[in-house]
Amino acid sequence: MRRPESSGPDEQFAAFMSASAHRLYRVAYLLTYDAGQAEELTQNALVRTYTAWPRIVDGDGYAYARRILVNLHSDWWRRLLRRERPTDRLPERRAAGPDPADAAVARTSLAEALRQLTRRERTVIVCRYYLDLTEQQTADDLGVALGTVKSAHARALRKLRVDPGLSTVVEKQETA
Amino acid sequence: MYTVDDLRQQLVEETEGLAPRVTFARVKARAGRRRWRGPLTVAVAALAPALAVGTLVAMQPGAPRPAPGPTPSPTAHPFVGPALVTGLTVGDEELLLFHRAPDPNIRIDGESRAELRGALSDPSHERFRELRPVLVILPGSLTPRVVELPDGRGGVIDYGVVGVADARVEVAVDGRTVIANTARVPGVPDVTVFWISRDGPLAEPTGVPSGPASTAVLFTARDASGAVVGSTDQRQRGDGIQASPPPYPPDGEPDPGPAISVSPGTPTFRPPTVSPS
Repeated sequence: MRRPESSGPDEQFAAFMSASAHRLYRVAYLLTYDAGQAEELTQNALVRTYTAWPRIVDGDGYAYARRILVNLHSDWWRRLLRRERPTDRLPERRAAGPDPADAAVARTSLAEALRQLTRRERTVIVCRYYLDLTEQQTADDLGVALGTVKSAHARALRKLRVDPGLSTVVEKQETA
Repeated sequence: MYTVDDLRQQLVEETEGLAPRVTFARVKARAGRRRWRGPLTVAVAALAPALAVGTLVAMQPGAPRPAPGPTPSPTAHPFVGPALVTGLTVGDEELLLFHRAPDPNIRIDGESRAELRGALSDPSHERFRELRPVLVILPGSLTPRVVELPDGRGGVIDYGVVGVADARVEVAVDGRTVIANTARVPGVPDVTVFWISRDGPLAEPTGVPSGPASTAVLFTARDASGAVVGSTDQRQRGDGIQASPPPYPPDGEPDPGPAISVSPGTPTFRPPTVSPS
């Protein structure tokens, strides 16, 4: 998102937030599948973006915030791995909507399948298929080699393909 | 039959209708604190040797000296109204505060009994947790009542009340004597709340420091003239943090909703937020 030129930094950032916070939050949700963690992750990414706002030279605040969010998730996950994290609540799910039952089952299967992926594999899937980033852009955002993204991507699709809940997902991928 | 396009579509559908509650004001407030954290860390690191020497001097046996500690400040907390923020932190950032919680259902001799509650709140007062046990204030109760709380960093916070206005509380630990921080709690007359942060093991669960791991701690309260009004070496270990919100939100304030969910028993602290890089 390009920054408007005619207002102050706070107004610019507030406008940026209103345009981008939802998208960032949805990415965070797909990465964590936990509404509370996603909100915390989104807020932290926005805080850092706000702090760096005057320095974002190219004006693409969304790309900057998205990169921070994805990397914060990686750092956060590493930290959580080193500590016990008891919980007595199941991850929040979206409320039941008017969708047909089949669609709901498919969504649940997808969520469960994505949870089985490793953090990096899930991040790559979200970057590639939700954010529509290229493999090179994904590698740049994650700060890893292109080959790492390719291998994680291939592993993730392989796991999704054999997942019992999504046994036919991405079956056409090779022919697409 | 699914394809990667279906996968794309399902990822979109998965997040449809989701909206964050993050506001610009909250982001700006957090960013302000984050800006200060870096320079403060450097300053604290630079001052650490001097602070260590100062602490050692203050803890030497001899004439009581004021205990070093942050300055308390009365504040209006959005969850409970008037409160006293001690400046002590528990865990990474939660502030220890005290507030009055009058309970009209508990009466002694026909009078409503006031209760003083300890609580933890994050600096922006967005999250709030009550501490147990509740300190019941009996008018004219001259024996200090003391509760211990682990500070989440290996230390101990002793806090309590005594039924004397403007009391001075001396704390004797291992032959050293320091003066506890004291203050009045907004809305609570003729009562002094006190607290001190120190090293050492917690009291036994019964509150009786009989085990070999316990440290003998003597709390002595003096009135404004310096006369001893009461003392105790009994302290009760805090047995947890209530998972319920404060029962009586201030008039006109919206219900803050459920407090942070924690397990009963040993006090636990919420996981730290992602630290800045």
